[in-house]
Amino acid sequence: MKKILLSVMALSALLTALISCGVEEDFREAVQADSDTFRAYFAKRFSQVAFADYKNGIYAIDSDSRDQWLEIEEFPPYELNIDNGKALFETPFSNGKGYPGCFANGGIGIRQNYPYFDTEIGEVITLELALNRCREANGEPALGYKNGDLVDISAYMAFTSRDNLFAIEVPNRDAYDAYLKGQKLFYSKHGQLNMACADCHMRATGQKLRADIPGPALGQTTGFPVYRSKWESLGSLHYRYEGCMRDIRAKPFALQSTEFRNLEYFQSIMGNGLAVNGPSARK
Amino acid sequence: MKKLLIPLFLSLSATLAAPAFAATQEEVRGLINKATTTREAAAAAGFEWTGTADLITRAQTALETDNIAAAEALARQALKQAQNAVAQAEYADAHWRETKPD
Repeated sequence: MKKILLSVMALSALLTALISCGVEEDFREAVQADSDTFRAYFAKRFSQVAFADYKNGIYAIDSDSRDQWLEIEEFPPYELNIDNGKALFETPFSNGKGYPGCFANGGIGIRQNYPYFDTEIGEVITLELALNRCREANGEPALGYKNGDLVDISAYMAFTSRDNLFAIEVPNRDAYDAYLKGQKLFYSKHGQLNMACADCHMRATGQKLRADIPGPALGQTTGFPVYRSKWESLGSLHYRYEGCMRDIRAKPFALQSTEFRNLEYFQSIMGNGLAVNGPSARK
Repeated sequence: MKKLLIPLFLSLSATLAAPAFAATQEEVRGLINKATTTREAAAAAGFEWTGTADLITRAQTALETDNIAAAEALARQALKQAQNAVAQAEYADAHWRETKPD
């Protein structure tokens, strides 16, 4: 009798493991299918653009502005930000520790792994959030997420990671939920103008939207932080998200809110395989 | 004669219509409260519009200064915006997957 009971229990454990394994496979397949469809959409829209070139945003599809951009990149407006970021990154905290101790490989060449889903705390961690959590863990005050020192440090870390390929993973079901929330935000219409990210950066990309041509959503995150001519400064991805939401008259989420982090997570996964090219310059 | 009749007709219409359409202070306060709770529902869903809170504030200011007609117009505008934002959130919940590329 005992043997039978043990056998039943073992069988049930095996079945549970097999089922959960199947669920794991399901969401991974779903993410892969999303990614394939997303890429195929842009491959069809801009058949002349190579996948790797999408890291250049609007300059991948608009040859006129690409020429201007290439000239700007000869003397990059973000050069001083990288220098400042490097100096700050290498300056120890009051307790003698520093940023390198908070990151894998001392924080060098790791931009392509951010954002990631932290399976222990169950949330998406962006590079900027990780930097501030590192500061707070070492008794330093958090820095602003819009622009300034934190964004300069992020720019330096991106600079040390240039040409590394983005490889963001979806490790478990909770991560997939965060991915889905980001995806929902991307495709849902918001604000008084009733527009979604996808409206501008998928359907209208390549076409004039008033005076501008919206950049393609594929590879949109690879070059951040960016020096925007409009801002006259280097700014973070979430600062750009905030501006997009305001433009459609939707009340923006806070910078580094769960919503924006999930959106960055989804967008970054769509850009997996593209090279890190931040910091970069944009209009 | 015609010139005299037109203003007479207009003032009579205004006199008769005013009590029927003008909202009371309490009614406007109710509208503002409804706009506020609806705006909060839109915000909780992550779909608040940028102008709604400002319209509510302006409606409250107009009400405090006894400008009932302006307060009512602003409150109705705010309520409409907030209701549209809630409808937008509900629509997104039900249909966002339909806008993904095939």
